[in-house]
Amino acid sequence: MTAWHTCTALQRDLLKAIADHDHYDREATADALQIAVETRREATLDDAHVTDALDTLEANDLVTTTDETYALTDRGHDAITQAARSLAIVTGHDLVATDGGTTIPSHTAAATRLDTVLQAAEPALADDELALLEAVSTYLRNTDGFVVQTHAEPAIRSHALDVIATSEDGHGASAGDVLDTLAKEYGAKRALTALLDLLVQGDCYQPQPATLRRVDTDTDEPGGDR
Amino acid sequence: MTTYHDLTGFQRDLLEAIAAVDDDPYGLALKEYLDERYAEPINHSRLYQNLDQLVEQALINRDELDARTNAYTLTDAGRQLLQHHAETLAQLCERPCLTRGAQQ
Repeated sequence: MTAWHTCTALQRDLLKAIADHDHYDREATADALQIAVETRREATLDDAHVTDALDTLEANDLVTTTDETYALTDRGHDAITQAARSLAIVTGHDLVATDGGTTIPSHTAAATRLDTVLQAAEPALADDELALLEAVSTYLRNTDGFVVQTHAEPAIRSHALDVIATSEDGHGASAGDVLDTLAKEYGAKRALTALLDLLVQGDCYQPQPATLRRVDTDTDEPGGDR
Repeated sequence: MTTYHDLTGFQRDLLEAIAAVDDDPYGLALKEYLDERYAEPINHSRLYQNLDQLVEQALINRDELDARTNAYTLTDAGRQLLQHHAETLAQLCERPCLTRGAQQ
């Protein structure tokens, strides 16, 4: 049983309204919360109904009041976070949770947070540390919306690199031919996962849109080791 | 048109359950999903009455699996409601994070 599922729809909407007020640093009085929920529902709520719902939330240690202003307790925060995670999973959202338990809705949001921290920490960081963290930020922005699923099996990745190396010319190996070769042995899905994995991990790149090349085969060329 | 806020808590949870249950989300599978989250086992008539209401509201489809079993899937409108709610909740969970010399 989860705390969220013990709540009625009105109680959940009130919890969300309290979180919303907290987020924007607004005072969450009973009246303000009622107006917020009424606005969302486009319907008038019975005052006593709202008061009862808030009392129940307080009795269940999901909210607390100080000077007639409501705030979420840790349990209330956890209930919303748990509900958000659960929904994110079933709707296919890519939620990133930091070790502080904060939920971040996208890679771009994560990069923005990282940039804020970087800005503050810049004077204390060495140049190489700063460059490394900036690269992480760039990686996050460039992969927004991507969901990296299971990593391809190492054997297929290694075979894929061999296939690319043996069939590439100056412009790289035909991506279609490489995929065909691998798909015959492992099936199209596993083969494609392996190739995507190599690209994401930086083991190969696309010198042209339809070709693949290993990063370690151009070290002697100008701009090598791309 | 039905909005997310028009739905009861149980109906909202049913939409989530339908999205969560893999393969064919039939009544019993949905009941099992919800039973794990609720304090009391879900009553059959409550389950099917609410599924019927969601079908009437065009938020879910009911397809016959066999003579005795129906499978329930989200309509585009149902999926959109759930998706929007997921985004709203995710945004609410972004709690302020204090860092050295900066406040986000």
